[in-house]
Amino acid sequence: MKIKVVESVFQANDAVAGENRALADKAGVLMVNLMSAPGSGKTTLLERTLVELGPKNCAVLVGDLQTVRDAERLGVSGSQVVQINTGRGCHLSAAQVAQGLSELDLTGLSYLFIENVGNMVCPASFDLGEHKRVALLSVPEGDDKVAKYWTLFQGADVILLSKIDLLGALDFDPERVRDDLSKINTHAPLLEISAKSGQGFHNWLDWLRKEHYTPTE
Amino acid sequence: MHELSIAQALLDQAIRIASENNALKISEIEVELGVMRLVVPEALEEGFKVLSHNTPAWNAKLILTEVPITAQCRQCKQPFTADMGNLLCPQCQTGDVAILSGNDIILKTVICETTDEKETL
Repeated sequence: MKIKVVESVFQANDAVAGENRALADKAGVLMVNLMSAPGSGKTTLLERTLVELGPKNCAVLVGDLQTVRDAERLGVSGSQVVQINTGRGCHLSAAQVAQGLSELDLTGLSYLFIENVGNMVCPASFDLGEHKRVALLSVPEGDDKVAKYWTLFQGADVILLSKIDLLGALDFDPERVRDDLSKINTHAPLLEISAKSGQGFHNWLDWLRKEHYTPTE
Repeated sequence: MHELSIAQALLDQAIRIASENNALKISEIEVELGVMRLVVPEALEEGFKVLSHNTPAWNAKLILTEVPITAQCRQCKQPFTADMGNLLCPQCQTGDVAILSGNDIILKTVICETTDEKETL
Protein backbone atom coordinates (compact mmCIF):
# COMPACT_ATOMS: atom_id res chain seq x y z
CA MET A 1 0.00 0.00 0.00
CA LYS A 2 1.38 3.38 -1.04
CA ILE A 3 0.48 6.18 1.36
CA LYS A 4 0.85 9.76 0.20
CA VAL A 5 2.06 11.85 3.13
CA VAL A 6 3.73 15.19 2.22
CA GLU A 7 4.71 16.26 5.74
CA SER A 8 7.81 18.06 6.88
CA VAL A 9 10.19 15.82 8.79
CA PHE A 10 10.61 18.75 11.19
CA GLN A 11 6.88 18.69 12.01
CA ALA A 12 7.26 17.11 15.47
CA ASN A 13 10.11 19.44 16.44
CA ASP A 14 8.26 22.47 15.08
CA ALA A 15 5.13 21.61 17.07
CA VAL A 16 7.11 21.66 20.32
CA ALA A 17 8.87 24.84 19.18
CA GLY A 18 5.46 26.43 18.74
CA GLU A 19 4.54 25.49 22.31
CA ASN A 20 7.81 26.99 23.57
CA ARG A 21 7.12 30.21 21.69
CA ALA A 22 3.57 30.38 23.07
CA LEU A 23 4.92 29.97 26.59
CA ALA A 24 7.38 32.82 26.07
CA ASP A 25 4.69 34.97 24.44
CA LYS A 26 2.40 34.46 27.41
CA ALA A 27 5.16 35.50 29.80
CA GLY A 28 6.14 38.50 27.65
CA VAL A 29 9.65 37.13 27.16
CA LEU A 30 11.75 37.67 24.04
CA MET A 31 13.41 34.34 23.25
CA VAL A 32 16.68 34.65 21.36
CA ASN A 33 18.62 31.75 19.82
CA LEU A 34 22.38 32.37 19.62
CA MET A 35 24.22 30.29 17.05
CA SER A 36 27.84 30.19 15.98
CA ALA A 37 31.00 28.12 15.84
CA PRO A 38 32.52 27.08 19.16
CA GLY A 39 34.73 29.82 20.54
CA SER A 40 33.19 32.75 18.72
CA GLY A 41 32.24 34.43 21.99
CA LYS A 42 28.63 33.48 22.73
CA THR A 43 29.22 33.04 26.45
CA THR A 44 31.33 36.18 26.79
CA LEU A 45 28.67 38.10 24.88
CA LEU A 46 26.04 36.85 27.31
CA GLU A 47 28.14 37.56 30.41
CA ARG A 48 28.17 41.23 29.49
CA THR A 49 24.61 41.27 28.13
CA LEU A 50 23.13 39.88 31.37
CA VAL A 51 24.85 42.58 33.41
CA GLU A 52 23.89 45.38 31.01
CA LEU A 53 20.22 44.36 30.75
CA GLY A 54 19.92 43.48 34.42
CA PRO A 55 20.48 39.89 35.54
CA LYS A 56 16.97 39.51 36.93
CA ASN A 57 15.46 40.49 33.56
CA CYS A 58 17.29 37.64 31.83
CA ALA A 59 17.60 33.88 31.86
CA VAL A 60 19.78 31.56 29.82
CA LEU A 61 19.48 28.02 28.52
CA VAL A 62 22.96 26.96 27.51
CA GLY A 63 23.68 23.93 25.35
CA ASP A 64 26.94 22.04 25.26
CA LEU A 65 27.92 18.46 24.65
CA GLN A 66 29.60 18.23 28.04
CA THR A 67 30.42 20.24 31.20
CA VAL A 68 28.55 22.89 33.17
CA ARG A 69 31.33 25.43 32.68
CA ASP A 70 29.25 27.90 30.69
CA ALA A 71 26.40 27.72 33.20
CA GLU A 72 28.87 28.40 35.99
CA ARG A 73 30.27 31.43 34.16
CA LEU A 74 26.84 32.85 33.37
CA GLY A 75 25.44 32.07 36.80
CA VAL A 76 27.88 34.54 38.36
CA SER A 77 25.63 37.34 37.08
CA GLY A 78 22.74 36.18 39.26
CA SER A 79 20.54 35.32 36.26
CA GLN A 80 18.70 32.01 36.13
CA VAL A 81 20.80 29.63 34.04
CA VAL A 82 20.06 26.05 32.99
CA GLN A 83 22.77 23.96 31.38
CA ILE A 84 21.60 21.44 28.79
CA ASN A 85 24.13 18.73 28.02
CA THR A 86 23.40 17.13 24.68
CA GLY A 87 25.93 14.30 25.04
CA ARG A 88 26.53 13.40 21.41
CA GLY A 89 23.98 15.85 20.03
CA CYS A 90 25.40 18.57 17.82
CA HIS A 91 22.48 20.98 18.24
CA LEU A 92 19.61 21.78 20.60
CA SER A 93 16.12 20.50 19.84
CA ALA A 94 12.78 22.09 20.71
CA ALA A 95 12.14 19.25 23.21
CA GLN A 96 15.39 19.99 25.06
CA VAL A 97 14.43 23.66 25.24
CA ALA A 98 10.98 22.70 26.53
CA GLN A 99 12.64 20.72 29.30
CA GLY A 100 14.91 23.67 30.09
CA LEU A 101 11.96 26.06 30.12
CA SER A 102 10.21 23.87 32.70
CA GLU A 103 13.11 24.50 35.05
CA LEU A 104 12.88 28.30 34.77
CA ASP A 105 10.60 30.79 36.44
CA LEU A 106 9.63 33.13 33.62
CA THR A 107 7.85 35.57 35.92
CA GLY A 108 9.30 39.04 35.56
CA LEU A 109 11.72 38.07 32.80
CA SER A 110 12.13 40.12 29.64
CA TYR A 111 14.78 38.11 27.81
CA LEU A 112 15.53 34.43 27.48
CA PHE A 113 18.76 33.61 25.68
CA ILE A 114 19.36 30.16 24.26
CA GLU A 115 23.05 29.58 23.72
CA ASN A 116 23.04 26.81 21.16
CA VAL A 117 25.72 24.15 20.82
CA GLY A 118 28.75 25.59 19.03
CA ASN A 119 28.30 24.42 15.45
CA MET A 120 27.81 26.32 12.19
CA VAL A 121 25.70 23.72 10.38
CA CYS A 122 23.26 21.69 12.44
CA PRO A 123 21.60 24.22 14.81
CA ALA A 124 20.27 26.26 11.89
CA SER A 125 17.86 23.46 10.92
CA PHE A 126 15.98 23.30 14.21
CA ASP A 127 13.39 25.81 15.36
CA LEU A 128 13.53 25.98 19.14
CA GLY A 129 10.61 28.37 19.54
CA GLU A 130 12.79 31.46 19.47
CA HIS A 131 11.46 34.81 18.33
CA LYS A 132 14.79 35.89 16.91
CA ARG A 133 17.90 34.18 15.61
CA VAL A 134 21.34 35.64 16.20
CA ALA A 135 24.40 34.42 14.29
CA LEU A 136 27.85 35.30 15.59
CA LEU A 137 31.06 35.43 13.61
CA SER A 138 34.26 36.32 15.42
CA VAL A 139 37.24 38.02 13.85
CA PRO A 140 39.68 35.14 14.60
CA GLU A 141 37.51 32.71 12.61
CA GLY A 142 38.29 34.49 9.36
CA ASP A 143 36.27 36.61 6.95
CA ASP A 144 35.28 33.70 4.67
CA LYS A 145 32.85 32.00 7.04
CA VAL A 146 29.65 33.61 5.77
CA ALA A 147 30.35 32.20 2.31
CA LYS A 148 31.32 28.79 3.67
CA TYR A 149 28.55 28.32 6.25
CA TRP A 150 25.96 30.50 4.61
CA THR A 151 22.76 28.77 5.77
CA LEU A 152 23.47 29.81 9.37
CA PHE A 153 23.66 33.46 8.33
CA GLN A 154 20.83 33.27 5.78
CA GLY A 155 18.26 32.57 8.49
CA ALA A 156 19.57 35.06 11.06
CA ASP A 157 17.67 38.16 12.19
CA VAL A 158 20.86 39.89 13.27
CA ILE A 159 24.51 39.07 12.71
CA LEU A 160 27.15 39.97 15.25
CA LEU A 161 30.73 40.40 14.15
CA SER A 162 32.37 39.76 17.50
CA LYS A 163 35.85 40.32 18.96
CA ILE A 164 36.37 43.43 16.81
CA ASP A 165 39.02 44.55 19.30
CA LEU A 166 41.21 42.07 17.37
CA LEU A 167 40.58 43.64 13.96
CA GLY A 168 43.94 45.43 13.85
CA ALA A 169 45.87 42.34 14.89
CA LEU A 170 44.39 39.89 12.40
CA ASP A 171 43.98 39.77 8.67
CA PHE A 172 40.21 40.20 8.48
CA ASP A 173 38.24 42.24 5.99
CA PRO A 174 34.73 43.19 7.22
CA GLU A 175 33.88 44.27 3.66
CA ARG A 176 34.23 40.69 2.51
CA VAL A 177 31.67 39.66 5.14
CA ARG A 178 29.28 42.40 4.03
CA ASP A 179 29.67 41.38 0.40
CA ASP A 180 28.94 37.71 1.16
CA LEU A 181 25.95 38.67 3.30
CA SER A 182 24.52 40.82 0.51
CA LYS A 183 24.09 37.63 -1.54
CA ILE A 184 22.09 35.72 1.04
CA ASN A 185 20.53 38.00 3.66
CA THR A 186 19.66 41.64 3.11
CA HIS A 187 17.35 42.16 6.09
CA ALA A 188 19.61 41.27 9.06
CA PRO A 189 21.79 44.11 10.37
CA LEU A 190 25.49 43.38 10.84
CA LEU A 191 26.60 44.74 14.20
CA GLU A 192 30.30 45.01 14.97
CA ILE A 193 30.94 44.47 18.66
CA SER A 194 33.46 43.56 21.29
CA ALA A 195 32.15 42.10 24.52
CA LYS A 196 35.62 42.58 25.98
CA SER A 197 36.21 46.26 25.23
CA GLY A 198 32.55 47.21 24.97
CA GLN A 199 33.07 48.66 21.51
CA GLY A 200 29.78 48.73 19.60
CA PHE A 201 28.05 46.84 22.39
CA HIS A 202 25.30 49.43 22.77
CA ASN A 203 24.12 48.59 19.23
CA TRP A 204 23.46 45.01 20.32
CA LEU A 205 21.66 46.15 23.46
CA ASP A 206 19.60 48.65 21.46
CA TRP A 207 18.65 45.91 19.01
CA LEU A 208 17.52 43.64 21.85
CA ARG A 209 15.48 46.39 23.48
CA LYS A 210 13.83 47.22 20.18
CA GLU A 211 12.96 43.58 19.52
CA HIS A 212 11.66 42.92 23.00
CA TYR A 213 8.32 41.32 22.77
CA THR A 214 5.51 43.43 24.17
CA PRO A 215 2.41 41.42 24.98
CA THR A 216 -0.76 42.72 23.36
CA GLU A 217 -3.55 43.53 25.74
CA MET B 1 25.84 15.30 11.96
CA HIS B 2 22.24 16.44 12.35
CA GLU B 3 21.36 13.55 10.03
CA LEU B 4 20.84 11.31 13.06
CA SER B 5 18.18 13.63 14.52
CA ILE B 6 16.52 13.86 11.11
CA ALA B 7 16.67 10.07 10.68
CA GLN B 8 14.97 9.64 14.07
CA ALA B 9 12.24 12.14 13.18
CA LEU B 10 11.71 10.43 9.82
CA LEU B 11 11.54 7.01 11.44
CA ASP B 12 9.02 8.16 14.07
CA GLN B 13 6.91 9.77 11.38
CA ALA B 14 6.95 6.72 9.06
CA ILE B 15 6.09 4.33 11.92
CA ARG B 16 3.21 6.56 13.01
CA ILE B 17 1.83 6.65 9.49
CA ALA B 18 2.22 2.88 9.07
CA SER B 19 0.47 2.31 12.38
CA GLU B 20 -2.41 4.61 11.43
CA ASN B 21 -2.86 2.47 8.33
CA ASN B 22 -2.65 -0.85 10.21
CA ALA B 23 0.54 -1.77 8.40
CA LEU B 24 2.92 -4.44 9.63
CA LYS B 25 5.99 -3.45 7.75
CA ILE B 26 7.39 -0.45 5.90
CA SER B 27 9.12 -1.32 2.66
CA GLU B 28 9.90 2.07 1.10
CA ILE B 29 10.04 5.71 2.16
CA GLU B 30 10.30 8.57 -0.28
CA VAL B 31 11.85 11.80 1.00
CA GLU B 32 12.66 15.16 -0.57
CA LEU B 33 15.81 16.76 0.80
CA GLY B 34 16.01 20.52 0.42
CA VAL B 35 19.66 21.28 -0.22
CA MET B 36 19.65 24.18 2.27
CA ARG B 37 19.24 21.68 5.11
CA LEU B 38 22.75 20.42 4.33
CA VAL B 39 21.92 16.74 4.73
CA VAL B 40 24.45 14.21 3.49
CA PRO B 41 22.22 11.48 1.96
CA GLU B 42 24.62 8.66 2.86
CA ALA B 43 24.74 9.81 6.49
CA LEU B 44 20.94 9.95 6.64
CA GLU B 45 20.70 6.44 5.18
CA GLU B 46 23.25 5.11 7.63
CA GLY B 47 21.54 6.76 10.60
CA PHE B 48 18.16 5.45 9.50
CA LYS B 49 19.52 1.94 9.14
CA VAL B 50 20.93 1.95 12.67
CA LEU B 51 17.85 3.50 14.27
CA SER B 52 15.31 1.34 12.42
CA HIS B 53 16.68 -1.91 13.82
CA ASN B 54 13.86 -3.88 15.49
CA THR B 55 11.19 -1.55 14.12
CA PRO B 56 8.64 -2.03 11.29
CA ALA B 57 10.93 0.11 9.10
CA TRP B 58 13.90 -2.28 9.28
CA ASN B 59 15.27 -2.85 5.76
CA ALA B 60 12.99 -0.17 4.31
CA LYS B 61 14.40 1.41 1.19
CA LEU B 62 14.94 5.16 1.38
CA ILE B 63 14.37 7.04 -1.87
CA LEU B 64 16.09 10.39 -1.36
CA THR B 65 15.70 13.18 -3.89
CA GLU B 66 17.57 16.44 -3.49
CA VAL B 67 15.53 19.59 -4.09
CA PRO B 68 17.42 22.63 -5.38
CA ILE B 69 16.83 26.15 -4.10
CA THR B 70 14.17 28.17 -5.83
CA ALA B 71 13.70 31.75 -4.74
CA GLN B 72 11.57 34.72 -5.69
CA CYS B 73 12.97 38.22 -5.94
CA ARG B 74 11.02 40.68 -3.79
CA GLN B 75 11.80 43.48 -6.25
CA CYS B 76 10.92 42.07 -9.67
CA LYS B 77 8.92 39.07 -8.37
CA GLN B 78 10.84 36.79 -10.74
CA PRO B 79 11.23 33.21 -9.47
CA PHE B 80 14.60 31.62 -10.18
CA THR B 81 16.83 28.69 -9.28
CA ALA B 82 19.54 29.84 -6.89
CA ASP B 83 23.01 28.53 -6.20
CA MET B 84 24.26 27.48 -2.78
CA GLY B 85 25.57 30.59 -1.03
CA ASN B 86 24.35 32.97 -3.70
CA LEU B 87 20.69 33.95 -3.71
CA LEU B 88 21.14 37.02 -5.90
CA CYS B 89 18.30 37.62 -8.33
CA PRO B 90 19.72 37.22 -11.85
CA GLN B 91 17.69 40.23 -13.05
CA CYS B 92 18.10 42.75 -10.21
CA GLN B 93 21.29 41.46 -8.56
CA THR B 94 19.65 41.82 -5.15
CA GLY B 95 19.72 39.30 -2.33
CA ASP B 96 16.31 40.45 -1.11
CA VAL B 97 14.54 37.22 -1.99
CA ALA B 98 12.03 34.76 -0.55
CA ILE B 99 12.95 31.08 -0.53
CA LEU B 100 10.24 29.05 -2.27
CA SER B 101 11.75 25.57 -2.04
CA GLY B 102 14.92 23.76 -1.10
CA ASN B 103 14.69 24.64 2.59
CA ASP B 104 12.70 21.73 4.03
CA ILE B 105 12.78 17.97 4.26
CA ILE B 106 9.51 16.40 3.22
CA LEU B 107 8.28 12.86 3.74
CA LYS B 108 6.42 12.28 0.48
CA THR B 109 5.23 8.67 0.54
CA VAL B 110 5.42 5.53 2.61
CA ILE B 111 4.95 2.13 1.04
CA CYS B 112 3.93 -0.49 3.56
CA GLU B 113 2.48 -3.93 3.89
CA THR B 114 -0.92 -4.17 5.58
CA THR B 115 -2.50 -7.09 7.41
CA ASP B 116 -4.85 -7.69 4.47
CA GLU B 117 -2.01 -7.76 1.97
CA LYS B 118 -0.11 -10.19 4.17
CA GLU B 119 -3.07 -12.58 4.24
CA THR B 120 -3.35 -12.60 0.47
CA LEU B 121 0.33 -13.30 -0.05
